[in-house]
Amino acid sequence: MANSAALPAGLDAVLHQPVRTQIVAYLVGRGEATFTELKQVLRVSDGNLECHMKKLLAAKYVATRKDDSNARTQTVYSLTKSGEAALRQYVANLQRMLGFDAKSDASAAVSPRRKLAWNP
Amino acid sequence: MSTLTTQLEAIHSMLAAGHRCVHMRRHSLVLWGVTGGVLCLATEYIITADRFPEHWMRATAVLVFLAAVLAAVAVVDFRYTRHRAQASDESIPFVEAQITKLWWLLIAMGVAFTFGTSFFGGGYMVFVAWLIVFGLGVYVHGLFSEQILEWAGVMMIVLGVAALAASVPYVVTQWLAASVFALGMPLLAAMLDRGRAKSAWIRGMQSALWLAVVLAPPFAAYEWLKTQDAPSAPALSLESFAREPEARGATVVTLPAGARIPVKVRIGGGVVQDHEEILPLTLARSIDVVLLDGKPDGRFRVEGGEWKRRIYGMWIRVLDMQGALTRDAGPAVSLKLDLTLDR
Repeated sequence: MANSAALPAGLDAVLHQPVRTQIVAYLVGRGEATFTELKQVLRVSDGNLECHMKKLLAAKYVATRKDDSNARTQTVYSLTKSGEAALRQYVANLQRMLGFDAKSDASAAVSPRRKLAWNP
Repeated sequence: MSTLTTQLEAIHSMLAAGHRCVHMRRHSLVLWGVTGGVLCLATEYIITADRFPEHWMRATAVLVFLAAVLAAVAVVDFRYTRHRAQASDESIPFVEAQITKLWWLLIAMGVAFTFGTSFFGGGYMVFVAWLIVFGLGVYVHGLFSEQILEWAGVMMIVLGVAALAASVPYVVTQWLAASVFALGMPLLAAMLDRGRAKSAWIRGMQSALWLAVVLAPPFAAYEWLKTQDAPSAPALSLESFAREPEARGATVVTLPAGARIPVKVRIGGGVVQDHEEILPLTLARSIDVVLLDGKPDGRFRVEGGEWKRRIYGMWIRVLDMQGALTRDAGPAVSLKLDLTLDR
């Protein structure tokens, strides 16, 4: 697991953590999701997910809304504009570090086919 | 460096999971499938010529009946899906809400097409059209949920197009559609695996199983029906039939090649005066027909071949219709029809 002590220069400390990165990436594709859905997709415990959600909320990368259209009120999480921008920047920095940028030569350490497509 | 690569791959995987966020519910597949199958088989017994004697009445009754049943299913599916989502603390993604609207639109198109065939022809294609409509709906769901739905949607569309291209008898297209809906869609519900990645080999095996399950019943039923078509009574010549008193039960009469068959043709429509004419046709090949209590029951065979029924063995196609206006002959219209009995 990544920690701030081992954080490569230029990477966002909030996002450079596997569970939080996955939460944000999932919300980019899905739009919004409930706590239960995130827990099922990421296969993490309630406590673990809650801890990471608190950090994302504190960084204002994720927002919540209460959906009370049904009898039972649901808390729904979605990505904020700053959260999406932060993920884009984070991915760009990762790709640059891995030699995926346009100026990189063909002998990059990782195969170019692995280059991330924002819309898979 | 490997940590960074792992991060990138995790992001990619989650982006893909996020984009495939539609949760196709098992109950939706079962509900729509069973309803579709029952409608394919039961509608003709509910909307009958006895209950609705006029053509426009039957067309309207089919429209109202299909629209009412399918709208009721749509409401039940919509409410139960939301109930299930709420019970399991899930949200309905925006994409799913839009795809549900698309599904309703496809169903409405199917109903409109069915209604339209009563007035504009093409009734032969009605079950093929429904197969394609359901196939499109399942495929679009699959694009945003599970891969197996994409495969099944494509198979439904291919089955429909192949049935049309191969001129599969109408009754077989009816049973095929009923089988795909009532058996195939519940089976598909059992095959859903929440988007888990499976090799092409496993997907191929699943598809083969699915195809076997949906294809076997209609074709087995068709073969069985054909064995039931052969009457036990010996064939009478036309002369013997004319001499004998009217018999009860099944009688087989042979119409020899060269026999003249007067076809009463009545043409109207407002542009021309209503006109009735006898068109004298001559049989090119002998045909055995079955009379049940003195009336043709639709069974026939050509030159001692396989027994067939009129509903799946006879085709009438308008090949050409042209009008002409010349100084010598004045106005004239030529019509070319093709009657096929033994395809």
